[in-house]
Amino acid sequence: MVLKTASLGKSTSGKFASEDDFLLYKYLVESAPSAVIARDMNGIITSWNKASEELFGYKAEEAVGKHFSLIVPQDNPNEINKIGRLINRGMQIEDYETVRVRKDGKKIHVIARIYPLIDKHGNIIGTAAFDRDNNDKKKQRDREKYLLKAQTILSSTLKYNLALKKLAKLFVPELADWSAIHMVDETGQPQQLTVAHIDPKMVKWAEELQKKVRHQPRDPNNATYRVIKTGKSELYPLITKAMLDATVKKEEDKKLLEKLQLKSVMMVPLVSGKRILGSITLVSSNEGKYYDKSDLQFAEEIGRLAGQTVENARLYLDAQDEIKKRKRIEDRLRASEVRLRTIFATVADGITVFDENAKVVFVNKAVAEASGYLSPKNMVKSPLRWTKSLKVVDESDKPINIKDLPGRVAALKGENSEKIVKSINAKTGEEKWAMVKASPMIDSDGIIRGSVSITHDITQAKELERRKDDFIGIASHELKTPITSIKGFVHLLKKEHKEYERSYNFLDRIDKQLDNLTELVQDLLDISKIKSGKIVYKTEKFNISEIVSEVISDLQLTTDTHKIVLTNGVRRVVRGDKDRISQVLINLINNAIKYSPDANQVDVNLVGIRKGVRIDIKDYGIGISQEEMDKIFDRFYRVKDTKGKTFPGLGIGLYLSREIATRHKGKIWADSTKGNGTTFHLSLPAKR
Amino acid sequence: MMKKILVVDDDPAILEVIKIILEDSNYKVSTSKNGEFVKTIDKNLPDLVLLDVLISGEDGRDIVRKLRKNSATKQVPIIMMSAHPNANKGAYAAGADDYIPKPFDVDELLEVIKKNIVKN
Repeated sequence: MVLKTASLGKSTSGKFASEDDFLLYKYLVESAPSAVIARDMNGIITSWNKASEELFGYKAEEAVGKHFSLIVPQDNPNEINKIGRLINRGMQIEDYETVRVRKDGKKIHVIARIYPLIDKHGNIIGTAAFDRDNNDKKKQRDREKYLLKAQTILSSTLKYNLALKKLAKLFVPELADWSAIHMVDETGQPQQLTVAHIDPKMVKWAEELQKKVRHQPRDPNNATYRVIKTGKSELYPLITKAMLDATVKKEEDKKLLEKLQLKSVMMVPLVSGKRILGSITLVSSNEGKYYDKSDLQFAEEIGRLAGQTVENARLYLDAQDEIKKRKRIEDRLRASEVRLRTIFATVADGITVFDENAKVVFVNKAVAEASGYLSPKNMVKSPLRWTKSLKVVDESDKPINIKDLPGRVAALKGENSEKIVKSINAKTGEEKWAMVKASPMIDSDGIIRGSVSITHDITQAKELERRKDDFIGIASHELKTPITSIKGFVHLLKKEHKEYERSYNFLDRIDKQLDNLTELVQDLLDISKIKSGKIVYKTEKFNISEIVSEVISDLQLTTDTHKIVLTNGVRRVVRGDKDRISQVLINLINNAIKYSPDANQVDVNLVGIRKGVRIDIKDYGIGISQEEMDKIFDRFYRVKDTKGKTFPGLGIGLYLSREIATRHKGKIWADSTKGNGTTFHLSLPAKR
Repeated sequence: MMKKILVVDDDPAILEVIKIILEDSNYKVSTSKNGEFVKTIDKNLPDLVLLDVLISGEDGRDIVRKLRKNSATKQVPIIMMSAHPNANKGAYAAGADDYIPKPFDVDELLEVIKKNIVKN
């Protein structure tokens, strides 16, 4: 309101110059768009124009003569005094916004101008008030203020549920007596988030009612559900008892509903664009406030505002969550990266990682240094520079193509590969041996993402091997040399002693022993080679029965005490090393002869079996006990005779034979009882 | 005419026993305990050379190669002997005609010599 000193002038004398003037004046007052109300000093209404009638509902007869408080709402008694005091001081009040009450009880907003009425003597004799309906404007301004408040509340926190609760409280009591907000849950059901009422007791009671009144969740009669499903607001400007009765059947529920005092209800959706997030319910229990279309529009606007805010808050929070999650994952990744780097840097073996295009993406220090780079970074940058200073060959000194180094081709195709390579430094001539193994890197979807190649330095091991080989070579040469000349001399002696039976026999026995010796030396050699895996096996196809016959006829020449009998022969083709298999057969038949000194026969049997062939060699000798059976294939194990003396020989024949059998994917085993002969079995894969 | 065989081995006992055995079989035998013979072999070409794979550290295969490079000795039959189990592979590769392992069976040795010696 604006206060001014009254400046009506002193021309008024309370009386009009003429009848015409008075009539004109009266006409002006009557037709004024504003309500004009004159009061005397006691507040009694003395003048009431047409606009007043329309604005306040009272006819002139009903208003004139009544106290001004007729149109002042009960809840603001001091206004009259306040205004009175101001007027008495000669103030005029302009743009005074206040509330009046109509005849029908409805409160309206007015904007008033109040002037003191002054007589010719300058005494204040009353007031003239010009009231204009301020409802719409006021409503508009109020609404704008409201929206601002609502916006402030909604944007005050990201915890949108909290904000919505505050918003519900904001509605009460200005916009409604009851307000409720429902939010749509994950299943699409409306869940009551909050209820507000000016009386907290009512709120509690309403919340309990909510629990008692069991609405079918998807009940189309459930208005909240409808609003949320359709996104359309609903307005019940006036709720009658009949409507209430239709909603609820039980008497007790009816009483509850009555207590709610639903007079006017509107429900609007909480929307963001096309998404319906919930609903706002506003209830007026006051007969003076019935919701109309413009109220509904306003509520809808709030619904949109709230909806958008909630949506934005949700999106923002989701984004925050996402960021936090990503950060956690990143941190974990970084930690494990650090761990891996430490492992890679510390490990002595070289680790090289290729991507799916065989490009080097990572090397550890070991590889970089071995390849002559200053740092892994340098190597990744120029991954082929090392080929200028290092030559790479295989075990036969054949150069190896870069492409064939494990990790580059086979591994990227999904195969594990391994190679023994020798690298020769072009400048220094230094040679280094390495075992390179590569495997593909396959992700959880089964796609090959690259390969990892591990390089293990075996230079020392190789050196050891070479020295052993050299030693074996030299030792075997040295051992066989004297045997060679002895054999030669024995041969000569035998020639000269052909007539002398006794001498000839002795010499013959010496000769045989020399052969034994040679065999022992050879076995020793072979055994050392087995340990280092160096025995080279040929692969050829041969008829097993042919070599069995050959071996039998050869060995028959060496013994006159035993007869070697081939009891059955089948034709089968075996794939492998003919000489080595012969070696096994010779060993087994020799053993048969050796371990049956009191017998005179050894039986050899060839049997066709499923997918292979089996050779049985039976002797009628001392036999092998159960406990010895487990050990006979051990290296250096020698069976004892019935007197407890061991038989001569190094005892490595069976060990070797088993090796050879295994390498041919076959088996050797034996059946025997002590004192009752033994049958050795050799099975090999074979085809017809 | 008696055929001439040159036996090369660094072990004197072996040299001796082979000499006796071969002479008993009517061969004329000359011996050498190292690879020096290569220098003078042109003057007295044998009909066969019996050569050990390892002669006082010298690789017998190198000797074979040298002999093969020399046009005079390119065609002389060379039989290699060795205690070394896998030496036969290298022997043929170097240019030898045959191979016999040590210790050898005398009859076998005589067979191999008969098979390879220059025929008239």
